[in-house]
Amino acid sequence: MKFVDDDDTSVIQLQIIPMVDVVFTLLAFLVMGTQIRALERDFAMGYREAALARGALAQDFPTAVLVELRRTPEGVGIRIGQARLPTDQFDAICAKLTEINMPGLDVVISADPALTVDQVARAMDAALASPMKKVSVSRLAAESTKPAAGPGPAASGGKT
Amino acid sequence: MRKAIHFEKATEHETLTLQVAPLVDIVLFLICFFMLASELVRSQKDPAVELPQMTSPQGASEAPAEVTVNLRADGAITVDGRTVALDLLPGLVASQAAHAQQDGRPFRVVVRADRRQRFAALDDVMSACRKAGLAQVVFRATGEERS
Repeated sequence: MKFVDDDDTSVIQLQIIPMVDVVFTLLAFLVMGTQIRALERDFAMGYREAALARGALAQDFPTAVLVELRRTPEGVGIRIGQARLPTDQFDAICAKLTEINMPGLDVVISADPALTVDQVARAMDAALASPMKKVSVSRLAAESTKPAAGPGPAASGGKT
Repeated sequence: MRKAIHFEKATEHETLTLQVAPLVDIVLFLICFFMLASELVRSQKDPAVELPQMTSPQGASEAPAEVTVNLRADGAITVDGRTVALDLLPGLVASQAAHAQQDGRPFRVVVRADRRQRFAALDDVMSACRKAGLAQVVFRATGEERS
């Protein structure tokens, strides 16, 4: 009969080099993971000079729908053409453009320079979610940045 | 009396074995390293820029561009890790565009603007790109696509 020899006790050693290899691999993997997690997306964006944006709307048959974003004490005042939308309600832009539903027309977001990039991006996002995908941005003309006295046609939206 | 000559027995050659586990470790590590390095080099991203969120399905997956303009919250403009003055930006973009045209490559400019920055600053950057002859720029945002 053969018995296993109990005296054969193997020495357990900590292998440092493979451990360092694995730690480095995990570190690199996690760094890459955080890079991948913050995925970024690209939005092609046209740009119009403020004067050109106004010109597009001054014609008899305007080729663009103007979305005006104006900074007010209450928040971001939004106006599409002559319609005034609730303050800070960016989703209303999408609803209004869906109602207009003319994909052939450009949408020009004319933003107050005092607004933040985030606020303008939210307006762009809402416009792009509508059927009208040809979205461009412009700076709200200097004379248009003065707060309007009351309801009425947009300063840059009407005929000149 | 003559002394006996002792010869040593020839030592046995140790068998050389290929250690697979460390080899795999190193190969994986190198792959990760090169992927990470190429990603950082390609993207020209400024980690100080906090992007706005956009969830519209109209956005495309991030693609590398010839020029990536980073607009930080403090107003600094960086391109390829270097701070660039606004008045020098049209010249820089135009020269890169000319190189791309010579090589027959498509040319794209990506603008990564910090969400806290004023729109006026973004407008200045876009205006500079327009001065360089570009009709369109790519606006970079973050966020999952809305289903």
